[in-house]
Amino acid sequence: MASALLIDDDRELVETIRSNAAEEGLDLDVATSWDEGLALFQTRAPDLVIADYRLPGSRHGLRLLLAVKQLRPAIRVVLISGEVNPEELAKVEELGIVDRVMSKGSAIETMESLLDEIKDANSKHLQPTDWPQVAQSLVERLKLDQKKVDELDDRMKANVDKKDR
Amino acid sequence: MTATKATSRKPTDANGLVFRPSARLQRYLGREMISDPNLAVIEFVKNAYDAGASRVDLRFVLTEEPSRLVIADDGVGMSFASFAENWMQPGFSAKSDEAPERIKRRRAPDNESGRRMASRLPVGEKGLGRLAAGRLGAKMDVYTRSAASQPWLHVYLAWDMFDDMTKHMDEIVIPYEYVTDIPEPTLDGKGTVVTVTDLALDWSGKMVGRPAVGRSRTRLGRLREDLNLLLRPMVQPKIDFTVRLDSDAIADEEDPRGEITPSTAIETAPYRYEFDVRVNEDGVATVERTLRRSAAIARQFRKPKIQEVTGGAIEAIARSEERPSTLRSGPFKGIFLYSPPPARHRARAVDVVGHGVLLYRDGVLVEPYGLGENDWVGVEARKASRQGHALIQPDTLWGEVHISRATNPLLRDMANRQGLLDDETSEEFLSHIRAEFSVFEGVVGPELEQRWIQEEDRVSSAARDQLRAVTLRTKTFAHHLRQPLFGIGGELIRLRRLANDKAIPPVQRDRLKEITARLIQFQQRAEGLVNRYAKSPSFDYEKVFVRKLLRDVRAQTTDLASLNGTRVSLDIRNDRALLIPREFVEDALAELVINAIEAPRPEGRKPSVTLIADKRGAEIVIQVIDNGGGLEGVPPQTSLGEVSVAPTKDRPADGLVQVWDIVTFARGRAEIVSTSESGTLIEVRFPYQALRLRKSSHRSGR
Repeated sequence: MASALLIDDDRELVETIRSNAAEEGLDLDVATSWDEGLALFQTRAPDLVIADYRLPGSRHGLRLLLAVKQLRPAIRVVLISGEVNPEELAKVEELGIVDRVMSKGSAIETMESLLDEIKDANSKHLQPTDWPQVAQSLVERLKLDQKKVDELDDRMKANVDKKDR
Repeated sequence: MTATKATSRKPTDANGLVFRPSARLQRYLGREMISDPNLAVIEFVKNAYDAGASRVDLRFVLTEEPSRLVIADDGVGMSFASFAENWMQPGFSAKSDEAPERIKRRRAPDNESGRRMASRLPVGEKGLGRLAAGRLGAKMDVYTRSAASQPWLHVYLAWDMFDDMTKHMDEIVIPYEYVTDIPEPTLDGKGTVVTVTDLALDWSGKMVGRPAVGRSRTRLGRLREDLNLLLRPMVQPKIDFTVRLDSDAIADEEDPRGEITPSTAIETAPYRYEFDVRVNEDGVATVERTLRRSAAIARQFRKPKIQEVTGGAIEAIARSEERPSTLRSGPFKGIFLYSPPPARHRARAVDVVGHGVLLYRDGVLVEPYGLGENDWVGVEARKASRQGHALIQPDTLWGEVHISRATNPLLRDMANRQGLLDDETSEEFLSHIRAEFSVFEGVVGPELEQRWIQEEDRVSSAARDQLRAVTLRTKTFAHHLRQPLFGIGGELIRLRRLANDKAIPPVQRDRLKEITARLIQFQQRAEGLVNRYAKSPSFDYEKVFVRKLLRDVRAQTTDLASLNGTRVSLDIRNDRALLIPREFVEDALAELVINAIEAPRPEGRKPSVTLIADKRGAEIVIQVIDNGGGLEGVPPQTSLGEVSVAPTKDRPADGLVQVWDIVTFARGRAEIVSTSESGTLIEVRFPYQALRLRKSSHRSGR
């Protein structure tokens, strides 16, 4: 059972992160689509999900991550994005949908932080379940404003789509 | 036969010393008095006019060997005596007012050409123009006769005869003969035919350098324009004289051939200001003025097409118009046209005449007024005194002023024909002309300002749309680049890890570490650029002080500067607030600084970039100066918008053009002031006065 799951549709990039983790002796499951990732999430029960904002086979990125959070409130979710602007990323963090947002804008720094996250998840996975934290996460999840998440997600999606046109 | 006899006079005389000019003086005079080959051709045209010709044909034969120029007129021609008097005595002119009466009386034969000649006031009078033929070609044949019934007098000159310094001018023997037939076509079988052979210039070629807007780039095209300026004024007096220009070889298919046609500028100008300064029966000097607007302008401003502009007695208006109260120079009339120059590619199709206010005496051009850089109306000076904000710019003013030898006898030419004699009379005349220009500018000023604002808005709006499109593309491109750069970052971490692997021998490990460190530097530099282009600058106008702006610009480029070992220094001489789309302008200036940092430099030159900010009149001027190797093929004073057409040395021009777009959007100007192997100076100017004027019209996302 792996402790961290990476979902990104860029196969080469996924391979780079996976190789980095392997060279550090860390476990990491990888998936290149949301469906594949969700299947792994359900069967492997990771403590950490690292996901790109935009994934094939998914609806909007934030709603997906919210679904993950709702399934397992104590899971740590890290969002990585190369497209969303810093102001929007800050809002995502404020809403509490994800635990951390990382930009692909500074590669080495972000990559090192990702490896640290995977390392933490690996060590956490060996420890017993922290039930008070699970309970706190449930409370936090109930505070999440679904409407706000949808609005922000729509706006972010529109911005990303505009760039593609 | 010879036209003159060799004599053996000595440089002394019983009463004192006498000049004995060397033969070479003839050559020097020809070269020095007439600096431009076109003027040398024009001298022959003037001679034909003075000879009462109704037509002169200029025909270049360039495809035969040797090449030649044939100038044929139907004027009065010359007898042996008048040829000897007119041609063989440099500096003597039978046309001059000072010529002896016996010679003046001989001037007009009793035929049509003679009557025309008598009615014309000569345009040449110095007796030097013919020397200029030596500039045009190595040899010259002159055929001349007064009537078809007479034989032709043929005089033959090979100019190298005059190259011998040891001979005196009067020792050179010019051969002549009488012939019944001549090798070139004539006009009406009489007059004068001059053939210049073995031409010094390739007349079917192009001019060196970039022509001014509206000017031809071929030699023949330029000659045609100069002839047009000489003899075809837009307003009266019309003269009974036509000029044809033909050539069997041309540089450009668009080069017009045949008869010189008048300018069309007068019909197309948005504004036309006519003035007539005269002396009435009571001896009082007055001025009458009329302003004519084109139909479109009259409609736009709801003003009359024809408007009388207040004038009156010169003495009465002298004080208010800051002009002389006297009119010693005599009456004159003129016309000023406000007509923005046509786009470069359309210039020739629209008109062959460039801008400038020309001076005509009896319908024939007086040089150099209004030609080239000559600013006798003072337009450039006014522009400078108003810190560049003059409404009528030098390249928008056309026109002409007419004087006459009969009514303006005191306005005389200098001996070298480079302008009027500099005396009180000419000074008074120039003051009157400048006063008329001021009145013209005063009348059309408010309308021009409105048009200017509208035009600026249009240009600014187009620049903004273009910027939006470019920004979006750049941003998308940058985002797409991020993904592979992120991957490279990941692989670099792996490489760094490998470089620390103790299984690898220390020497190889050190090399790996060094390579990795350098790769990381490059990756981060690329990433920095991508991040810069990935952010979307705001179109909002903000008030920002120049010092803050330039500090931010320097901060944006610090990483690159330190990587390149370039010192970027600031010199803020005047810290003023600007109203600009700050983020865009900051990016544009950063682009200039990046260009300056990356400019290739000769080996051993320590790179430096200086940013200077100062106030110049109502403008804030920001100079970006580098000590790089310069931009190849870019002439001084080139607008950044034009740089794309010029090749640059290892530096992309697109970035500079984008800077121009941004600066134009911000209502500024940007140009390469100078560039050479020792460095480049680029100047960006923001007319903050103009911005203040239009501050209310700027809203974000407009």
